[in-house]
Formats: sequence, structure tokens, C-alpha cells
Amino acid sequence: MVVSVSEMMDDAPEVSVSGFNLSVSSIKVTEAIKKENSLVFVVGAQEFPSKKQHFVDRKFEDFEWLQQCLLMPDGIPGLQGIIFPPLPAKPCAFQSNTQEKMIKQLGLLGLDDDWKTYCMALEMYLQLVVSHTTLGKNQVLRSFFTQTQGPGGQAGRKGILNRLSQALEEIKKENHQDVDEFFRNERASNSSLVRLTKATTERLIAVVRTQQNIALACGHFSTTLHLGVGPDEDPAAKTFSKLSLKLSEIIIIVKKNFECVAENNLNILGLGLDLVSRYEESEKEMLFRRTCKLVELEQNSKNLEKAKPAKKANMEEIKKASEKEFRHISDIARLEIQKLHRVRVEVFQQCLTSWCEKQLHAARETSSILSQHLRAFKQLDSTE
Amino acid sequence: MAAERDPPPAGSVGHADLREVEDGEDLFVSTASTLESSPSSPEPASLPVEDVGPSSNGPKPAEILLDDDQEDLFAEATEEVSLDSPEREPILSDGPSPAITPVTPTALIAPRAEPNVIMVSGMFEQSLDELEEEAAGDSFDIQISVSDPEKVGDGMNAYMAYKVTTKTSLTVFSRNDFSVKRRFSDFLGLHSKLASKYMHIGYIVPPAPEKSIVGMTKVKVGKEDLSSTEFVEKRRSALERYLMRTVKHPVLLQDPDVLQFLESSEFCFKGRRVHCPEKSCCTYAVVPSCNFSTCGLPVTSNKSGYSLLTTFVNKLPRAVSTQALSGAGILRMVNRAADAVNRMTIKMNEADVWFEEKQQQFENLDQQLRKLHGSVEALVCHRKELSVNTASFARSAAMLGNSEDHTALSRALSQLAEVEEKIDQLHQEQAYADFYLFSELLGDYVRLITAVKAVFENRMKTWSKWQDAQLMLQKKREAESKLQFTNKPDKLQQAKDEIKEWEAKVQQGERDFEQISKTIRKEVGRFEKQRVNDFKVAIIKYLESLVQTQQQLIKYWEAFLPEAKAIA
Repeated sequence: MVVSVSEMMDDAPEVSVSGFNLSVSSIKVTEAIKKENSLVFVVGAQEFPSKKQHFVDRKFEDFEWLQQCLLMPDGIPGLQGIIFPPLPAKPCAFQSNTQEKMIKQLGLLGLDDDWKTYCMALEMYLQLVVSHTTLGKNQVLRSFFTQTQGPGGQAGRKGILNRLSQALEEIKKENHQDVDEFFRNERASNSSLVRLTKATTERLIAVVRTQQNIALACGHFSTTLHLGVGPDEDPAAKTFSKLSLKLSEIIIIVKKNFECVAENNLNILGLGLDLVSRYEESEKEMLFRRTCKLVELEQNSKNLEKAKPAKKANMEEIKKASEKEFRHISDIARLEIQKLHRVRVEVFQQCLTSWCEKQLHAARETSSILSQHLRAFKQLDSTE
Repeated sequence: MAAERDPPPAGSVGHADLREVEDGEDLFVSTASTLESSPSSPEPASLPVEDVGPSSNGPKPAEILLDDDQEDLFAEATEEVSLDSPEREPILSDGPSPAITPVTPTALIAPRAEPNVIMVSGMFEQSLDELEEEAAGDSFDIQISVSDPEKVGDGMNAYMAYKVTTKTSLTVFSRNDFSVKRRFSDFLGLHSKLASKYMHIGYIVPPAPEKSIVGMTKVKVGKEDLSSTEFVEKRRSALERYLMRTVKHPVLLQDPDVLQFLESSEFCFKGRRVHCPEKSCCTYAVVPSCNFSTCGLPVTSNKSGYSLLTTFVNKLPRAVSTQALSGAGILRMVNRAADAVNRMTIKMNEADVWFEEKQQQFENLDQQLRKLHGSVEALVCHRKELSVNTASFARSAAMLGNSEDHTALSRALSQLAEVEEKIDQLHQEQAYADFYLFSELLGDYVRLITAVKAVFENRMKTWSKWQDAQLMLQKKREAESKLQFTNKPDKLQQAKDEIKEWEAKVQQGERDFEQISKTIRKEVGRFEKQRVNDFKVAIIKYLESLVQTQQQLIKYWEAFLPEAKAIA
């Protein structure tokens, strides 16, 4: 994987989950297999230091279950302040899949027919989860990586990370004035970044699609050239056929180049942009949770003030509890936000560097092959 | 005096009247005899092409009533053409005739060491042969460029004038480097003339670029947008290719119309004194060069250009409805209809398998080229789309960079936007390369093959004419033998005369057929060579453009890499 998550996370490359040591970099989602009507992902991980390998089949529902388990408040203060590593969207039923539908559902991840990009996104998700200081300690991870039977189907309890409906009150809450300047700024900047990153990702999707189309058109052109070549006795026709075949070869080179460039765009730049984009959405959700808590706190304070003496003590308790919770959330959130900022910069750095290197390499290779062809062709021309 | 003679109408492509070719040949015969008697020169024999052109300029200035021209003129009636570019220049009986000034008198004729029978068409062919050899002897050194499109006039009467520059060291031209201004309809007019002179004897005349009402209207109306600039550029390039192809043909290069087109600055653009042969008076046509006199419309000295146009249009309601088709389009349409009829009726007894095979090959080639053209067009389309999308992506990245707080990241994102913009430029250039190198080339060849097919059709028609002459001869002989038993000496004599006449025609028909077959063989050979060469050149250019694109990309990526690394 291009983007090295463990380096980004500043954490140890191995994680300990209650005696179960896992090497972060060994976590792989190797392939997606179509079984019956659903997609099954092969998830691999290696224990440290025993080097014991685990391979399990997981469906998307299992990932969803994992995500929800992570969110279940179980006594960790300020859990809601965590910016959760974003899970890719659910893959649609692939009976009637067109690229349009896939892109609508999955965004950039839908551009790859082979699901390779999607697997890479899942892989990154797992690595991010496992290497998170808090989340990585969750017990469920063990069973996720080792149990043969997938845990999915138990997606009963809805976690707090559900897509909150944009009801009018929610929107009002979203825009609720913040008490803290840091958070005020962050919310504003996050809001604009979410929009811009999403727009950039969408434009990149358009570029990659066109590049894929060009590759197809090249293939078509090349085939047509080939089909026109038949047995010729006429010397002129023979030469023409030779030329056609030569051109056909060149067009194939162009095609391969486009495929390579598109792939780099998709799997390096695209993945990075997509991750950043979804992370920003995740941050948005976290900020929203915190704002909700703020609203709750303010409500409780109001209630306290309005409360009758008999209930005052009770109200005080409630208010104090929510105040404490809010503080925890804010503390964790602050750390998470700072970490995210760092992560963002690092993701961009790594993926832009790697992408540039790959594109440079592709250009050099193509240039050298084409130059060879040109030289050979010119020689042929001068001898004929 | 030419006024005495009333030569038959000259035809346009595909309307080869039986009568007309014949009479044209009669023209030859007398020409040949006249020429035979003139003092010979020691120079190598070459009949100037102009003198033997069967349908237009005669050896002496001759009037040619151009009936069929009416149709041609109609065909030219589009908003763009209005009054210009007649199919024929008026050939004047006296006075300096700007239309036919032979550009350079080529060699005089040497007496042929031939027996009594004047083999006129043989002479013709031989001389053209020699012309070709001469031309081949000259290293082919002529470069034509079409440039500087300039809009002349306003509104719907506006047109584009192009500068045609010729650089050459060939002796057939009087200068080495010269240029003239021409408009699109002039090119069409040139093609029309060449087609009518040469197609029916088997020469493949390169077709002129096609008209486009939509494209041209935009330009006229003054829309200065990308699509009209592209349209003008596409047309300019097409005109250039057309001229180069035309002059590459050794026979066409020597044609006076071609030479005049390239050299004469008087051609078509200025009003001049025109002797109207019909009315036998002098009129001043203010309107550039259209000799309405020959189509029967009045030309009076006071009419302005506009009112002439109205008169013209009003008299020809039919023309208006055909405005949607170009002149070339109409001709093609009519020809196709005529050919379809011919194909049904002419069942040629093909003695020569070569022709049958070639026709099939050309049919196949036609299909293949059309398919390829389709493929390339799709590719060009996608490339343009890619350019648009890349530019869009670049803008997004720039906005993202602007919102980014982290300085180094912000700069890197801005750099990313710039790189993508540059790549967009590259995509555009590459799209143009794809387009001009292949798409237009393939289109040109599809049109060329239409001309080739026409030439094959003409051979069939020539054969058919020969067969008809044989039938007629048969009939005459039968008539004569019947008359033998009646006592009508004068009728008998007439019948005998007619037999002689038709015997000559049969002989001529056979000669024509052999001639056209021979010419076609040569032309096809030339065409094949040309085709191979053109594609070879295109492929090399294409490869070069591809390599260049990649090398540019390398430069861009190399510049961007340190920026990316410097983010953190």
C-alpha cells in the first residue's frame, strides 16, 4: 500500500490488543470474491512476534458491525470526540451494476471494475482502526481478525455513527454557535474543506473515466486497423498493410500508457483524496456530536436555572455530568483534530510524491518505447 | 474567326454527353491538322495541355456555350458563393483575354512520325505521357501554403479570403515565390474545371473540400468563438492539402487553370470589362468575374452587385431549395443517381480482370477507411473531453490549495493545479494532432476514393459508348444493304456516308476505351503510391508528436516532484 498508515499514526507498527499483537503493516485485504449475491473480502493479518498468519472471509456487513462496535459507548470518556476512521460506502448489489451506479454509490472507489481500489480503501480502514491508540484496544478486533465465522448479522444496535438525518433541528444544531474559538474556526474550515475536497475528488473521477474511455477508443482503433489487413499480392497494398500493423502497435502503446496513467490517478492520487475527503466527513460528524453535546449542556444549564428547588440538586447532577462529558469530548476532540491535520498533510505528501513518481516513471517508459519505434520506423522508411 | 463556330456544350463530370466528347474530338482533329502544318521546332514534342483539353480552351480562343453550366451555376447558388466562381471563364474572341492567358507557352509541337491517320487521342496521351515524364524529371519542388484567413465584407455576403503562397523552382511558373488571394468558391471552381476536363478520360482529380453552410454561417455572422476559429482552421488546412494533392499530379500541374489559380492576381477578384458574346457588346461587370451573360441573365452596366444577386436568386427558385447542399454535393447526388441507373443498364463485358479486382479492392478500402475514420473521430472526441475535465480538476485543486492553511501543502496543491493545467494544454495539442494527422487524412481518402470510383464508372460509360457506336454501325450497314435493292442513288450514297461516319466513330470509341483503360491503370498506380506515402508520413509525424508529449510530461513531473516532497 502506498500510503503508510502506521507512519502516519506515529504509533508503534505493532499493536497490542489485550495480549493479541498484530502487525499493522501486515493487515491486508487481498481480494474481493463474488459469492452468490454478495461480495466477500479476504482479510489477512499477521501476529507479532509469532508471525502466525490469519486469513478470514469478511463481508461488508462484518465491517459495518466492527465500526458499530467501536462506537458503542462503553465507559471510555470522550469517545464521541474521536474522529473515526471512515469506512467506505456499502457496495451495491452488483447484479445490475453499471459504472454510473457504482460511482454514485461509492464515489471514486467505484471506478475500478475489479474492486482493487475498494479493497485498498478497506485495508487502509482496518490499519487506521488498529493503529488508533484508543480504538485499537477494542476487544472485538481480535475476533474480527481471527474468527472464521463472520460476526455480521448482529448489526442490531445502531451506533452513534449513523447517518444522522438532516432534520431541520439537526441543521439548526449544526449551525449552533460555539463557545470555543478553536472549535469555531475548525468547524468553519472543516465545512469548506469538506465541500472542496469532495468537488476535487469528483473532478478527478471525471478525468479518470475519460482516460479509461480513451484507452478503450485506442483499443477499438487498433482492432479496426488489424481487421483491415488481409492477404495482399499488390506491393502497394502490402506496404499499406504493414503500415497499418505498425500504427496498430503504436496505438496499443498509447492505450497502455493511458491505462497506466489512469490507474495511478485512481489508486494513488484518488485513494488519497478519497481518504482525506471521507476523513473530513468523519470529522464533521464528530464536531456535530460535540455540538449536540454542547446544546444538551446549555439546555441542562438552562433547566438548572429554571429548576424548582426540589429538583435543583438533581438538575445540578445532570448538568455537572454533561459538563464533564462535554469537557472530555472537547479534550479528545482537540487532540484528534490536531492529529487529523497532521495526517492530512502527510497523506497528501505521500500520495502526491508517490503519484508524481509513478507518473514520471510511466512517461519515461512510454517515451523511450515510442522513441525506439520512431527510430526503427524512420530507418525502415529510408531503406524502402 | 471563332464567332463562326458554335462549339457544342462542354459537360461537367458525369454528364458526358455522347455528342460532346465527339465534337470535342472533332475539335482535335482540326486542331491537329492545323498544328501539323505549322513550322516545327526542334524542341521535344509536347502538346500543351491547354490546347488539347477536350472541353475547354481550344487551340484558338473559341467560344464555348456552356449549357450545362447553368446547372453548375445553380449548384453554386449558396449564400456564400453568391456571384463568384463561375465554372467557366468567358473565352473572348478578341481583345486580351485574361481568362486564358497561357502562363507559359510550353514546347511547340514537332511533327509526328506517324502515318496518315491522325491518331488524335494517341497524340493527346503521348503528350500527356511526356508531360508526366518531364514533371518526373524535374525534382518535384513545389510547396503551397494556405494562410491568413481574412474576413471580407459583412453579414451574409461576407466571405473568407485565404492567401495562397507558392514556393517553387519549377520552370512552368514565371516566379519562384508568389502569393494570391483566393476565396473558397474559387477553389471549388478550380476543381470543377479540372474535373470536367480530366475525369472522363480517366484521371483521378482530387476532390475539393466540402462546403459547410453551418460552419460558414457562424463565421459570417461574426461569431468569434472557438468553434468558428476551429472551423476556419480546419478549412484552411483542407484547402492546403487539396492544392498540394492537385499539384502533385503531373498532368494537373501543367493545366493552365491550375497555373492561373496559383499565379494570377487578376483572377476572380476584380470586376473587369467583359465582352458578352451573346449580346456582342461590351459591358462592365462590376461584380467580380461572374459571367452571367453565359447563363442568360442580363448583365447591364449599372447594376450593382447586390441587385444582381437578387435578380439571380429570384430567377432561380430551384437554387434556393438546394442551398442546403453544396455544389459538389449536388453534383455527387446527381451523379450517383445517374450512375445507379447506368450500373443497372451497363453490363460490361469485362475482358480485363485487373479492373474488376481493383474495383473490388477499392470498395473494400472504402469500407475500411470509413471505419477507421469513425474510430479516430471517437478518439479525438474523448481527448477533447479529457482536456475539459483536466482543466476542471485543475481549478478544483487550485481552490483547495487556497483554502489550505498549511503553507507547504497549500503551495503543493497550487503547483498541482498548475501542472494539471499544463497537461490540459498537452491534451489539446495531442487532440489536434490526432485530428489533423489521421482524421482529416482518412476523410480526404474517403473522398478521393469517390473520385476513383467515378473514373471507373467513366470507363464503363466509354465502353458503353463504343458498344452503342458498334450497334449503330450495324444498323447503318443493314440500312445500306436494304437500300441496295431500291433505286435511290442519293439515299444510298447518304447511307454509305453514314457508314463511314460510324466506322470512324467505332474506331474512336475503341481508341477512347483503350486510352481510358491505360490512363486508369497508371492513375491507380500513382494513387496507391501516394496513399502509402501519405500514411507513412502521417505515422511518422504522429509518432513524433506522441514522443514530444511524453517528453513534455516528463519535464512537468520532474518539476513537480520536489514540491510534493517538500510538503512535510
